[in-house]
Amino acid sequence: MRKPHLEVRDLHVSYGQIAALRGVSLHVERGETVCIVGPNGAGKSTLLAAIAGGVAAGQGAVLLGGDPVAGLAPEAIARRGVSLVPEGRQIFSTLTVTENLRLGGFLHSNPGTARWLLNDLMDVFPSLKARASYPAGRLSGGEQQMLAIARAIMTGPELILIDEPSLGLAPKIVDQVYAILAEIKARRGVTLLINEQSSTRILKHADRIYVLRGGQIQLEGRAEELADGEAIKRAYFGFDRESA
Amino acid sequence: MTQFLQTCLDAASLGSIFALSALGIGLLFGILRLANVAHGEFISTAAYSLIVPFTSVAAASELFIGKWHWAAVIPTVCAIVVVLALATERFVFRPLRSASAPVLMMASFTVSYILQNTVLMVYGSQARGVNLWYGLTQQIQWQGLRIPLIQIVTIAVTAVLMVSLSLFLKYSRFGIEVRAAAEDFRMARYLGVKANRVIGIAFAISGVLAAAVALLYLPQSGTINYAWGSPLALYGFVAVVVGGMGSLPGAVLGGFSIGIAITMLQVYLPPELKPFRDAFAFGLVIVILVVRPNGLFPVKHVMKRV
Repeated sequence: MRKPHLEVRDLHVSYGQIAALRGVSLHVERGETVCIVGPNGAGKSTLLAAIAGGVAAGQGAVLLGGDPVAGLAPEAIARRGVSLVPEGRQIFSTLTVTENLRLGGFLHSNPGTARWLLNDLMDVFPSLKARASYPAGRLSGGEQQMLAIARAIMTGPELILIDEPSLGLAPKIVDQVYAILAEIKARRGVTLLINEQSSTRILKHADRIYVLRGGQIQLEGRAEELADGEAIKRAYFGFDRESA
Repeated sequence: MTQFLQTCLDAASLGSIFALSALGIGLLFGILRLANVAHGEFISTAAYSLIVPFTSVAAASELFIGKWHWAAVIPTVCAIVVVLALATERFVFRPLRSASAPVLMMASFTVSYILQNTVLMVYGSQARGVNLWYGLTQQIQWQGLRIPLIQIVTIAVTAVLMVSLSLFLKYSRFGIEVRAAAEDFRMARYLGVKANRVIGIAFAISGVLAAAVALLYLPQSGTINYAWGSPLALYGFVAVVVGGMGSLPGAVLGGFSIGIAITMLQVYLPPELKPFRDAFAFGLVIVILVVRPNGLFPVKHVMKRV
């Protein structure tokens, strides 16, 4: 049997006394778009950070193509083809747009790869090309989100983890972000794992959905099975609306 | 007028020393949030490496590395301090990588004391005279000014070091990595920036800057003792705070401001107050911090727009 691109098994993460993840298991197949939906504080960001090596797991395993990677440093996991677009973008505001992108490309042993990627991305993101030598902090929120995505692609990832790409953006901009993600997926054949607070938009874009609440997976299903949104709503809020 | 120009030259020269010290401290603070108290001992070690260890006190200590040609002295002393700085990183600060800022600061205090006591063991507690580069202490006469050669050298070397450091940080791959790490270390690591290498480079640069401070200041001071570097690091710290924590240009400007303030106070204070010059200088620092709590040149927090 083919091993999933990403597999998370019984993952536990705590911050001091507070448990953020309490036994999360999930899998993402190669080329899939999977979305994790859950309310604020459900542990979504912690889950992505733990996969990327930014927070230590107390228990459980993270496997990439069957290889355990939990406990590796973030810079080592980046070299295994995982790239994180974190919540709030976290662009380097004092660096220029080009410097932000170049930084993502330094891990390639062949500098030509990074140069090629940079030129390619400048074509995909004309608004970034126009502001190439601006300090990234001067970009608008939508442009910063595009930069964060472009920067993640500079590392040449096979799996991109995207934490709340629509956070704080106007609906029109969110549409652009998702259009770009779809284009990148079509061009590069990457696997996407996306966190969102709201499931309404993501149902159109995802193959499968997990609902995370209280640090545990409440529901898993294919997007078309969950299309009416009722099952997601019940899992999301943690009660049966009819009986309440 | 001549007197005033002379004072300006003194201020620029002293300011250069403080600015170099502040850069070494500010660089590590920017990346690691580490207030490295042991920077003073990096400076002392550079100075002590010039004289013969385990000798009895003499009016002028016998030179060891200091006897060599300057073209050999500079790289050797830099290498010694860089190795020391990297060793502190490897054996003290790396195991404490995830510790909080106060813990890091306490650790740097202990490193500082251990290094001071090592100097005491090897070189003794009495002040040692060191005649390094005697020729540089000569003065040249120009337009009625008496200019010690070492002041010109200090200002020139500082300018060269600052320009090279800023070019390095601006254009090189490592420079971009260092600046990114200073802004958001975790994000830089998510993008594949190797933490150990960036921190190692920062410690090495900090070591070179400490060696530069020692080699430039020693010909002017002439004597060293086991705590020789501490005040230089202290002024460096104050410069970093005055300039604005986390801003390297701020650290440099802070260093020059302190150098200018101290020199001006030394010249223009009434004679009976001159012994208390530093009290006035630090009083000024407090006034600056009350008026501008984020320093004279705070890091411009570019608003993260939503």
